[in-house]
Amino acid sequence: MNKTWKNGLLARVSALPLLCLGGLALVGGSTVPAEGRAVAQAAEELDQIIFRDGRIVKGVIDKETGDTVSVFVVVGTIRGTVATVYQKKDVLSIIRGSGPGAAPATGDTREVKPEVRVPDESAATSKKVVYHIKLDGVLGRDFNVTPLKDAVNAAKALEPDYLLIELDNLWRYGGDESKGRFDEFGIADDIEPILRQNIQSQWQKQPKLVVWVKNAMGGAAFIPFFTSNVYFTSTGRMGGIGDLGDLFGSMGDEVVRDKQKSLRLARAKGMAIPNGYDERLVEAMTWRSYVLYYTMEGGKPKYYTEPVPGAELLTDSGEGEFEDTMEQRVRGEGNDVLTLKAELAQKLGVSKGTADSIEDLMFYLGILDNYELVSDAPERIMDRWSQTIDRLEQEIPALFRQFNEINTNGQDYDARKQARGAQINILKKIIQKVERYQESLQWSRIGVPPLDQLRIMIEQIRLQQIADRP
Amino acid sequence: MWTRIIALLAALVLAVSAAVSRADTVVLKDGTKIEGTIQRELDGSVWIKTSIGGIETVQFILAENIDKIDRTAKPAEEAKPAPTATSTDPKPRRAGVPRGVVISLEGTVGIQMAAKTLEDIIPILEKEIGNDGTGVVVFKINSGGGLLLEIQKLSDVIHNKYKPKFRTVSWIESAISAAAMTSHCIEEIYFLPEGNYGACTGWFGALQAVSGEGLEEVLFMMEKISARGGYAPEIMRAMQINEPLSCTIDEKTGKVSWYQNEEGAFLVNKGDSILTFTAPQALKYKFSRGTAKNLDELTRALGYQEIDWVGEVRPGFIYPVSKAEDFMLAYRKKVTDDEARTQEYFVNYQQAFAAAAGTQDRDLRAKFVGRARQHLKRIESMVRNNPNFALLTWGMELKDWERDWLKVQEEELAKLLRN
Repeated sequence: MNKTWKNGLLARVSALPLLCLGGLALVGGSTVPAEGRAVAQAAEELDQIIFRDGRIVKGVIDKETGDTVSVFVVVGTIRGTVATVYQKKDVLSIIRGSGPGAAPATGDTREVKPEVRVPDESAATSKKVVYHIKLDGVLGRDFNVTPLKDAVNAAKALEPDYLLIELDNLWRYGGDESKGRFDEFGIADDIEPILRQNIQSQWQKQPKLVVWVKNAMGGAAFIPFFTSNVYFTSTGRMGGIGDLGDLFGSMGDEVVRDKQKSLRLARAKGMAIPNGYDERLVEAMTWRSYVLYYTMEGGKPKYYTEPVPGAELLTDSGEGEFEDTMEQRVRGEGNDVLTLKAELAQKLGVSKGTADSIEDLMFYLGILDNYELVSDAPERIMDRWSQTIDRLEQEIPALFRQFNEINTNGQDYDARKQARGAQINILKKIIQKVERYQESLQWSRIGVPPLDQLRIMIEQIRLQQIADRP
Repeated sequence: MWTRIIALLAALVLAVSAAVSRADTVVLKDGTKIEGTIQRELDGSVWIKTSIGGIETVQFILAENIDKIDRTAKPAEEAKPAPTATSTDPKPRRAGVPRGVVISLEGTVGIQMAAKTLEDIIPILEKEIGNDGTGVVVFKINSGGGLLLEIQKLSDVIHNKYKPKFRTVSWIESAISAAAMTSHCIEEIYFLPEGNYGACTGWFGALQAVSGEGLEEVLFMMEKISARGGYAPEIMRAMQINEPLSCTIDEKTGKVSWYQNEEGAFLVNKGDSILTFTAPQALKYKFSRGTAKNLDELTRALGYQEIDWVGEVRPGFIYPVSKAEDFMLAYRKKVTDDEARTQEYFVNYQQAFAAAAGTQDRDLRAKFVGRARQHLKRIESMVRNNPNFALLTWGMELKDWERDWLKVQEEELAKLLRN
C-alpha cells in the first residue's frame, strides 16, 4: 500500500523570496495565521523588526511608543488586519522600509538605537536549521520506531535548531476495530524516547521539537503530546483513539478490566503530563463515558467534570441520546470521545497556532526569513522503509511459495541435497527479512509461519539431510 | 642518622601534601573562598570542615550563597581504608561525593526481571560503589508486570541484600502490577515526569481475577511488603482490588493520613476503580519523594549536589552504563531470546531425539543423538539463566527439573547410544 502523498518539493529549501512562496501559498488555498488581506509589496520595501534572538518580523509599522512597537505583519502577500504589539526591550533594531506602506518614524517615537540601523549580520545570516520529518501513511506500518530512529539519528550531525515532525497519518474509523486503537499507544510509547529522552540526554545541542498536526488520529494522537510546541493545519485533527472504557467489552472479571484500563490511562496521561497538558484532556480523548466541560478564564481553559454556568461541553457521556451517530464517528466528529480540531486545539492551548504551509509555520517560529529546511534525507529514510514494507508483503509470500515448490525427492542424493540447501537458504532469507522489519509486517498479510516455526523447519530439513546421507 | 631525618621529613612533606590535596574549596558568591573537607551535602548546601590553628570547625553554607565548589580531593584508591571490616573498595573518589549506579529493571517480572539476576550482580556493584551504605543503587523501573511468584523473591533480595549495603531507591518510568509490588519495599521512590505506578490486580487466562485464598495471600503479602517500604497498606490495597482510597494532608506537619474510604480530604481512588498513580499524583500525596526527568535532577532530589555516576555513556541511555548494568542488559537479551525460542528449542530437541530413536543404524543414531544433545544444552542454558523457565514450561522447581527431567533426558540419550 502506498502513502497518499509525497513531499518532493520542500527538500532542503532555504528561505525563498516572500513573493514567490506567497504566490504559491495563495494558489494552494493556504491561510495565514491571522486573517488578512493581500498586499503586493517587495520585501525590501517593508519595515523590519529585528529581535535580540535573531528573529526578524517584516511588515508595516502601525505606531511606536517608548516601550512598544506595533506592526501589521506581512507574510507572503498577506498583510494582517490586526497589528501585533512587540516590546522594545526584545528588539535589537528597527529598519524602516522604503515602500509606500512603510511607516516613517513618528514624532513620539524613540529610536531604539539609531546607530544600528543595519541588521546584525550574525542574526540575519546564521540560518536556523529545521530538520523536517514527515510521518505519513499508516502508524505502525509506514512509519514506525526503526525508520524514525534512523531519521532522527541522521539529524544529530546537523545540529538542527528545530526538529519538525509533520504528522499526517492514514486513519479510518473501523467499527469494532476502533476499540483496539488505544493499544496503538504502544507504538507511540516506543517512539517517545526517540523524540524526547534520547535527544535530551545524547545531543549536545538541543533542538526544539515541533509537531505539525495535519492528521494525528488513533495511536498517532499521542505523538503531539511529546512537546509543547504543537501547531495544526486548518483542517488538522487529533484524536480518534477509541474508547478505553469499552476496550475489553465484557471479557473476564470486572476488576481485571478495571486494572487494564487504569494502567493504560495512567500511561497515556504520563505521556502528556511532562509537557504541561491537562490530564483531563487525555481522559476525554480516551474514555467515552467521561464528561468534560470547559470555560475560558484569563485566556486559559478551565475544566470541569460537572456542568457550570457558561461552560461549554467538550465530551458527553456517549450514552443513549448522547451517543454519536455512525456518521459522526466515521468522520471523527462526534463528542463521545474528544477529537481536537485546529480552532478548539488552539483555544485549549494544545495548539500554538494554525499553519497551513511551512512558511506559516516558520512565521510562528519566528524564523520566516532565516531558516534552512532539511527534509530530503529523512524523507528518503521514511520512504525507503515504507516502500520496503510494500515490497516485502509481495516478496515474502512469493519466497515461501518458491520454498514449497522445490522438489526434494530427486533421484540422486546430490540433487536432493542441493534442493534441501535451496530450501534452507530461502527460509533463512525469509527469517532475515522478517527479523529486520517485523515491527511493521503483518503476519496476516505475508502468510508465512512465525519465526520459531521457520527455524524448526530448517532443523527438520537438516535432520532429513543427515538421514539421507549415503 | 641524616638519612633517617631526611626520610622522616620526606614523610612529613608527603603527609602535608596529602592533607592539602584532600582540601575542597567552596567559593562564595561574594568571592570568599573557604578551604576544608566537605563532610556532607544536601540540596546543594554543604557542611565543610575547616581548620584554623589546629582547631577544627564545621561550617554550614547555604546553596544560594555558593558560587562554585572546587574539589581537589584524592581519588578513592588514595583515600583512607574504610572503617568497616566488610567494606570493599572503592570509596568515593572525591570527598563528599558518593558513587551511584543505575540498574534498569525492565520486561516481565519473573522473566526479564528476576531475583536471581539482582542477586548475581551484587558482587559487581560492591566493586563499583562499595558496600558501606554510601553508594547509591537506583532501580530504574519500566515494566508492565509479570509473575506473582517472583514478587516475594525480588522483595527479599532488595530488602535483605541491597538495603544493608547500598542506599537503594526506585526511579519509576512505569511500574505496573508486579513491578510496582516489587518496588514497594523501597522507601525512596522517585518518578520520571511520565511515570506511573500501580494496577496490581492479580489475574490469569482471559482476564480472570485471582480470588479466594489466593487473593487473600497476595493481599497479606503486600501488607507486609508495604511495611518494609514504610507505606500505608491502604495504598497498595487500592491498587489491587476495587476499594476506595482517600487521604488528608496535615497542613502543619505535612503528614499524610490514609483512609480506605472516601472520608479523607482528597479522594485518590474511587471504590469502583483500580489505582494507578501518575507522577503528579504520587508527588502530591507524598507517595513519591520527588520527580526527576534526568540524572541531574535525581541527584538533587537525592539531596546531593553531585553523585559520581559510575559507567560509560552509551547512545540510547539516559544514564551511564555500569558493569552491573551491562550484566543486566546481557542477561535480559539472552532471556528475551530464550523466551521467544523456547518452543523451538524444545521441538528441535524432540525431533532429533525421535529421529535417533527411530533409526537402527548405529552411526546415524549417533549423529542424531549429537544433534539432540546440542538442543538439550540450549534448553539447559536457558533454564540455568532463569530457573523460572523450569516452572513455566515443566511446572517444576529447578532441582526437581534437574533430577526429573534433565537427568532423565541425558540418560535416555546415553541409552540410545549404548543400544
